[in-house]
Parts: sequence; C-alpha cells; structure tokens
Amino acid sequence: MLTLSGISKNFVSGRKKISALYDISLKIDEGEFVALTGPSGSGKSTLLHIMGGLDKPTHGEVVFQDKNLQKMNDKQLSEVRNSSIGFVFQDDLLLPHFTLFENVALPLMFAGRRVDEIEIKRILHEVGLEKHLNHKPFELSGGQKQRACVARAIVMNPVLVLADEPTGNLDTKTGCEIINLFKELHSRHKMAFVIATHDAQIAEAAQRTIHIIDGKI
Amino acid sequence: MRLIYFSLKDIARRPTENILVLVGISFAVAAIFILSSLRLGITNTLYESAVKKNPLSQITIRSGGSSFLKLLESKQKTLGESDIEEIKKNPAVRIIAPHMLYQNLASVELELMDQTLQTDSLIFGISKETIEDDLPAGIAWKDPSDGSPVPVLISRKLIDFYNFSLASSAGLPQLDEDSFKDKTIKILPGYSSFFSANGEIKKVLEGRIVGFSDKVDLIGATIPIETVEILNAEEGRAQKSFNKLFVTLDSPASVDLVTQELEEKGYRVTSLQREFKEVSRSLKYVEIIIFVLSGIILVSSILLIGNSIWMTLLRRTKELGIMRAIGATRGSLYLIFFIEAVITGFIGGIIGTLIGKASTFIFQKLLANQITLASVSIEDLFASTWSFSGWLLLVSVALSILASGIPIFIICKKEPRMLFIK
Repeated sequence: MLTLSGISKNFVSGRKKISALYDISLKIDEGEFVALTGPSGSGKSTLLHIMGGLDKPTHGEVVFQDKNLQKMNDKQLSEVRNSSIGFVFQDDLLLPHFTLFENVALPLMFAGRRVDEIEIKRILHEVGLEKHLNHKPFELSGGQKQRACVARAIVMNPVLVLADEPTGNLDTKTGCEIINLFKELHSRHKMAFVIATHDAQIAEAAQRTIHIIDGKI
Repeated sequence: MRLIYFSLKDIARRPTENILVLVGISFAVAAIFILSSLRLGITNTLYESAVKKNPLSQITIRSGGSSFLKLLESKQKTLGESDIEEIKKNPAVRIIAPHMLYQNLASVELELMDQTLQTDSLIFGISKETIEDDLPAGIAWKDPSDGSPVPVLISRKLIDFYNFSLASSAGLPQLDEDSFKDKTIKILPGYSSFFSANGEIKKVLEGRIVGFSDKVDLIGATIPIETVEILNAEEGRAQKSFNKLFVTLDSPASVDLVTQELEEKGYRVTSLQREFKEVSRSLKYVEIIIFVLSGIILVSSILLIGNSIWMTLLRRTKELGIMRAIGATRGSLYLIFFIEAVITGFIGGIIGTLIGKASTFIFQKLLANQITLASVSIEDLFASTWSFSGWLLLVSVALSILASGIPIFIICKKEPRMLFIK
C-alpha cells in the first residue's frame, strides 16, 4: 500500500546542512499495525510527514496506492491526505473555536461532502465522546482531546492512520486508553496504523516495529 | 456555504484582532471619503456659483481683443450697436443683453447700521433680460420717467464678501440681505468721495435696492441700462458703447463653435464652459494632492492591516497545518481568508463611510462659509454621491483583500510540515 524507496531528507539551518533521513526504504501493507520507534531527533516525525505527503523527500520516492506522491500537485495531494490518510499529532491539534462535532466534521467539509450527523455521532461514540459533541476543545481533558483527534483522523475511513507520538503529552493511564483505542480501531476497521512512539507498550502492541536511529533504519 | 460559515466563525473568535483591522479599514475609508467629498464639494460649489452667474448657454463678449496682444492692439475698440447687429447674424444667437459702465467717477451713499456710509463705486447698467429671474415681482427694470427711485441691484456675493473679508476681521456686525433690502441709496454721478476736495456734488440720483443677484458685478451698484445711457449722454460720453454683451445661444452645445467664430472676428469672448475648464485645470492640483494623500493613507493602511494579519497568522500556523493535514488545499485556505477579508472589508467600508459622512457633517457645520476660494464662499464644503460610496465600499474590500492577501499567500505557500514548526 505504501512504499518508500531510497528516502533521504536534508534540512538547511543557516549555513549548515542537516541530514534527517538517510536512504530509507520500507513498505507498509494494508491493515498493518506498525510502531516507529527511536530516540528523540532520530527522524521519526520527518519520516511520518513524508509518508503522509506533508513534506517532500530530498531524494527517493513515496508510492501510495500505486501513485507517486512526488508527482502529485497540491490539489491531488490534499485529496489523498483528506480521503486516504488520517493524522494524529502529539499535541491535541483541534481548532479551538469549533465544537467537537465540527472539528470531527472538518475533513468532510474540505472534501465538499455532506456532513452525516449520525455518522459523526457514531464515530464520537466509538471514541467515547458521544456526550461531548457540542463541547469546545478547552472544555475537554487532554485524553478527550486526543480521542477527538483520533475521531477526526478516521472520519473519512482512511486506509492509513499516521500518529506522531500520540501519547507523548498524556499521563500513563490516559496513554494506555489511547493505545487501547488504536488497537480497537485497528481490529474493527482494518486500517493500517503507523505510530511514531517512545512508548514501549505501543511497540509491544504493534505487529511490526521499525527502529530508527540517526535517520537510518 | 460551509466555507462562509467557517470564515464567520473565524472572524467571531478573534474579536480584538478583527476590531483593530476594522478600525484600520474604517479610518482609511473615512479619510478618503472626507478628502474626496471635499474635492467634490469645492468643485460643485464653484460650478454652481458659476452657473448661477451665467447660464451654460451664455457667452460674454467684452470690449477689446481676444488675447492680451489683441487687447493691446485694439484697446480703443468698444462694443456698439454695429457689433450687436454683427453678432445677431449668427443663427445660434437668441438674446443679446448689453452691459454698460457709467464712464465717470461716482459715489454712493446709504444709511447702514445707523451710519451714513459714503463710498466711491462703479455704476453698471444692464438690460432686463440678464437679471429678470432675480427681480422681485412687480419691479419694473427701467429708467423711471416719473421721478421715482431708480431700481438698484447689488451682488449677493458682496454681502458675503463684506461679512467674511471685512466684518469678521474688523469686528463689525454681520449683515444680511434684509440689512439692504428696500434701502434708499443715493447715487452721486461725477463725484468722488475720495477726491471730494476737487469736486462738488452735481447731481443726486435717488435709488432703491430692490434685490440681489449673482449675475451682477461684485463691486458696484447695478441699475437699468437706460439710466446709465442717460448719465453718459449727459456728460457727453460715447453713446451706445457697451463694455460687455451677454449673448444667450440656442443651446450649451453651440458655445464652443460660436466662441470660435466670434474670436476669429476679433471679439474677446468668455464663457462659463471655458471658465469652468480653467477652474477644473486649477482643481487638478487639488485632485493630485488628494490623490497622493489617499494613496499614502491606503498604503499605510495596507501595511498596518497586513502586519496585524501577519502576526495573527504567525500565531495560527499550527491551525493552518492541521487544516492542510486533514485535506485543505491551498486554494480552500485562500478562499477562507478571502471570504474573511471581503466580510471585514465590507463592514469596515460601511463603518468608514458612516464615519466619513458624520465627520463631513460636523466639519460642514463648523466651517461652512468660513472658506473663500476664487472669491466664492464655499457653502457646501463637502459633497458625496451614492455611487462614490459604492466605489469606496469596493476600495475598502480591495484594501482588505490586498492587506490580508499577501501574508496569507506567503504562509499558505509553505509546505504543510513547515506550518507545524513555530
């Protein structure tokens, strides 16, 4: 489903060239549950961004569902991110002025699709937030906000969910709840999950672990 | 519709920032409104004042040449009956109303503010056709053969001129038309109050101020032309010699052609249309100043509003990153902010126009009649039209789009990943 071939990524910081990823090649199959582990600064987030079309590699190519992401224009890439890939970030990145319901419905809005109220409520029920659909993000706890981000990531029924340190800002108990939620969703929806994490529990729960150090796997 | 809803929510969540942007737009619009209303007000007043003086279809032929050189060459030339006959030949000519100057020194004497005022004055004679619109009902504009007072008209602008140029600075009481209406005036032909030692009052002509006109000369008393003819004749001056002929044509469209034809014959012709073109040329400088000031205001506003929006966007880059991550194209982000800019610009434009309207109303009350330009007191200092307000609303929306467009374009151009990096 997702193939990365010879991916390198360099950044320029002032006069200094920083290499974040070196010649990475990997494959993610449909319905796989993959943990991407490694120390801070090893290149996990950069790799995840490249997988999801949020960033372009300096070298190499990313093929998602037989389509080369580098050859897509902004509109096509946005469409892929909208319909086929879901993102969950470390920070609970919700739009503060929208209710939970509206935040979850945002991908539908950008897809130009009708907002199916019943479907949104069902997804919020699935992540345990059915009672909070009219709440604004500031009225929720950290764990609830992260659940809302998960709901938003799966609302378009994507084939791949990319999560970048989803438990990084949560306490152990809440982190466990989020991991369990990922497991449940994986078994129920058969979506592929790639989770960048330090969390050993996630790594244990994953079908495969990709370890990355200094930009190499 | 959803994007509009999104934009409205976005506006509502940032009241302080949007109020600042609205204030910026409103004040820029208000300033442009005031400047442009001032330009239109001055132009309108000068135009109306000129039209009051002379209808658009009228030309004035003056004695002398059509240029300074010709004037020198033919300075002895006067206008007489033969000229009237010559001008009448033009088929576009409808009425010829002569204007005659009493060709000697003269003084007038009248009771004003419980004082007897005696001053040297020019005495003009004009025919009824020129001023009949300004004559009160029942007043006959002709030389009285029965010994009753001669009807006298004075310039309406003379009262304004006295009030604002003399009375205000000298601390004298202000006068109005009622101060002069029906006053008896003594006309002293051939006598100068300044050079009284060298002469004596030979004749006293009793007159009565019957009304006011914008068509008569500013300084002096205007009486029926027949009376001036008699006075000139009594002193042995050239008879039927006119210093001006007011020629009314069949339509304003004939003015240019007839003016050209008469100038080719050596006449010195002026017309309202030509005067107005000259005034408009002078006003071009005012327009340039207003254009430059408006430009400075617009550019400053764009920079200030743009900076405010730039700061807002910098704080919101993560939000933009989320939107890009969940499928927003650059185009949809542009559209969201474009809608916001249009809404903000529209509201700012309406507020700015209202502020401008209110300010011009206040300035009008404070400054009306305080400003004199080209001897015309500017009564309606400000003027605006609905179509101008409409244009200003478009300017306001364009200002808002331009001010927000550049920062939005720069931010949205970034790769989505970069938006997550503060």
